[in-house]
Amino acid sequence: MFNTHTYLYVEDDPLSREALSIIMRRVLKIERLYIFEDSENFLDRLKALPDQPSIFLLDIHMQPYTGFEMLAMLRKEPAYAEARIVALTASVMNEEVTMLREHGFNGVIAKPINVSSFPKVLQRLVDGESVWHVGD
Amino acid sequence: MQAQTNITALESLRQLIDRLVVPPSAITDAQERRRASLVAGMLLAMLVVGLLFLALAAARFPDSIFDADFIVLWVGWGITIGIYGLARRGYTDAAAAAMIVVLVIMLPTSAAIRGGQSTLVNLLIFPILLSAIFFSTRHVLLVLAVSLAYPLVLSQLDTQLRLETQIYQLSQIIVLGTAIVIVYAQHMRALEEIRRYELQNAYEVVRASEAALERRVLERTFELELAKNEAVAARHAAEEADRTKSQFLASMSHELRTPLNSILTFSELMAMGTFGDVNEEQHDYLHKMLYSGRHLLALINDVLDITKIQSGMMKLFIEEDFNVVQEMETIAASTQKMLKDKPVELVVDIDRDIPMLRCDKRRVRQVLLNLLSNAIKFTEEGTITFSAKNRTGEIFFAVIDTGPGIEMEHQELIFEPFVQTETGIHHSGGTGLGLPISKKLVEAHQGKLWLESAAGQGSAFYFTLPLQADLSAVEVAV
Repeated sequence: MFNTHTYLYVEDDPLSREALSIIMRRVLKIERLYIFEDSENFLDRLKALPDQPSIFLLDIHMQPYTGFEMLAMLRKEPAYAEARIVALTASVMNEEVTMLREHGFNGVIAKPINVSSFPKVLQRLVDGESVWHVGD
Repeated sequence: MQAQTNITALESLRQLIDRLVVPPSAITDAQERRRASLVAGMLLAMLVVGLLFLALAAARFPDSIFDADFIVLWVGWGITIGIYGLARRGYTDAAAAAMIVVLVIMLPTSAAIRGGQSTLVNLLIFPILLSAIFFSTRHVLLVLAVSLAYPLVLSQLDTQLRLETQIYQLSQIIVLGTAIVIVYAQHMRALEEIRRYELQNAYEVVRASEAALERRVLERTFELELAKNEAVAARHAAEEADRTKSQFLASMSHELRTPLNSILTFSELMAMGTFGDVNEEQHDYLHKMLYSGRHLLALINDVLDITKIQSGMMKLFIEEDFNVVQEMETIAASTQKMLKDKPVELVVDIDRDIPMLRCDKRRVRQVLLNLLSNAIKFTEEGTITFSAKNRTGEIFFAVIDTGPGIEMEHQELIFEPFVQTETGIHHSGGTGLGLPISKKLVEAHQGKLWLESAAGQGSAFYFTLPLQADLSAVEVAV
C-alpha cells in the first residue's frame, strides 16, 4: 500500500537520512524513495526526477532553502497542489506547530522518529489525512 | 414701615442717578467709563445747582429775571444741557472742555452786565477744577490765566463790573484754589501712575511666571520623552532577550534530539532484525540501549520543559476536543507492559458523561502519563486507581496508589524541581522534574494539583482542570 506512491525526503543530517531510508526501504519496502541532502536548486532537481513524488518529508532546518521555503515553492506549482507535505523536525515547540499549520504543511513528524509508530503515521498520510500528533 | 419706604426711596433715587450718568456701552475701557460718568455726574450736578441758583435768584429778584445778566445765565444753563447730552453720548473731553469754556465766559459776562460786586466770579473755581480733573496742568494754568484775565479785561471796558477789591479776593481764591487743585491733581495723577506701574509690574510678574511655567512644562515633557524612550528601549531589549532565549531553546532542542534520532532508530531496527538475525544476547543488549536512549530522550524533554517554564517561555496550544474518556483509556492501555510483572491491579474509573475538554491536549496527556507512570513505578503490589469525575465547572482527576506513601517532610519537596527524595531516586532513576512540570502545566490551565499521602499509606495525587478556563487560543505564559 505504501508502494503506490513516490516519496521525496530532504534531510541534511547523514545519520538521520540513513535511519529513515532504512525504515522506508528495508522495513516498509518502499521502492520509489528519493533523497536530497540539501535544498540547492530544489525545484529543478525535483522536476528532473524520473518519478514525481506525491509525498514529501522535509526537514525544516535546511540550507539554502528552509523547509518553509520549499513548501512555498511546491504549493505554487499546480503539479504538487495535491501533494502531502510533512515537516520533519527535532525541535517541536507549540509555536512552531502553529506556524507549520498556518503555512500549509499537512503535518509534522517529530525526530527522533519512532520506528514502531512511523508506519502508522505514513499510512495516514497515504490515506490523505493530516498528521499533527507530536511527541511520544 | 417708614424706614423701609425711606430706604426704597433712596434706592430708587440712586438708581435714577445711575441711569442718568451711565456712559454709553460703546466705551469699554474701565477708566474711560469712570471719566465719562464723572463728567456726566458733574454736569448733572451743575444743572441741578444752576437750576436751584436761578430759581432762588428769580424768587429774590422777580423783576430782573428777564434782565440781560439773567438771560446770559439761562443761556449758559441751556447750553449746559446740550453739553450734558454730549457727555452722555461719550464725548467726555469735548463735554468737559465745552463746560469750562461756557463757565469761563458766562460767569464774568453775567457779572459784568449786572454790575456791582458779584459772587459769580468766585464760581470760576469750577472751571479750574474741571480742567484739573479732566486735563493736564498746562490746561489748568491756561484756564486760570483766562479766568483772571477775562474779568480784568471786562472791568476795564465800559461795563458795570467793579472788581478792584474783588480782584484781590478773586485772585486769592483763584490762586489758592488752583494751587490746591493742581497739587491734588498731581497727587492723583501720581497715584494713578504708581498704580499703573504696579499693574505693569504685576503683569510682568505674571508673564515671567507664565514663561517659567512654560519652560518647566517643556523640561518635564522632555524628561518624560526621555523616560518613555528609555522604557521603549528597555522593552525592546527585554523582547530581544526573550527572542534570544527562545531561539536558544529551539536550537538546543534540535541539537540534543538529532543524535538520539539515529541512536534510537538504529537500535530498534537492529533489534527488529532488519540488518540480519540477532541472537538473544544481542537482542537483550539492544533493548537496554533502546531503553537508555528513550530514557535520555525523556530527560532531555524534561530539562527543556523546565527551562521553558522557568524562563517564562512555556506556551500552551489550546484545542477544544480533548476526549477525556478515550485519552485516559489509551494512556492506561499504554502502561500495560509496565504492570506485566507486578501484582498490581489498575482500576480505570472514568465518568462517562465528561464533556470535551478545552486544553493543550499534549500537555494534559503528559500530566496524566506522568502521574500514572509514577504510581506504577512506586507501587509493588495492590491497586492503582486512575479516575476522572465530572464536577460542576471542572473535571476532577485522581491517581491513587497503594505504594509506600510519601512522608510529610518530603511532600513539599517533590514539587520542587531538581530535588529528589531518597525513595524517589531509588525507584525512578528519573530527573525529579516530572511532578514540578506537571504542577506548572496544570496551573497554566488554571487548575490545581495536590497530594494527599502519609508514610506507609499510599499516595493520592489529585488535579482539577476547569471547563471554562479563560485561556487564549495559543499563548498562556507560565
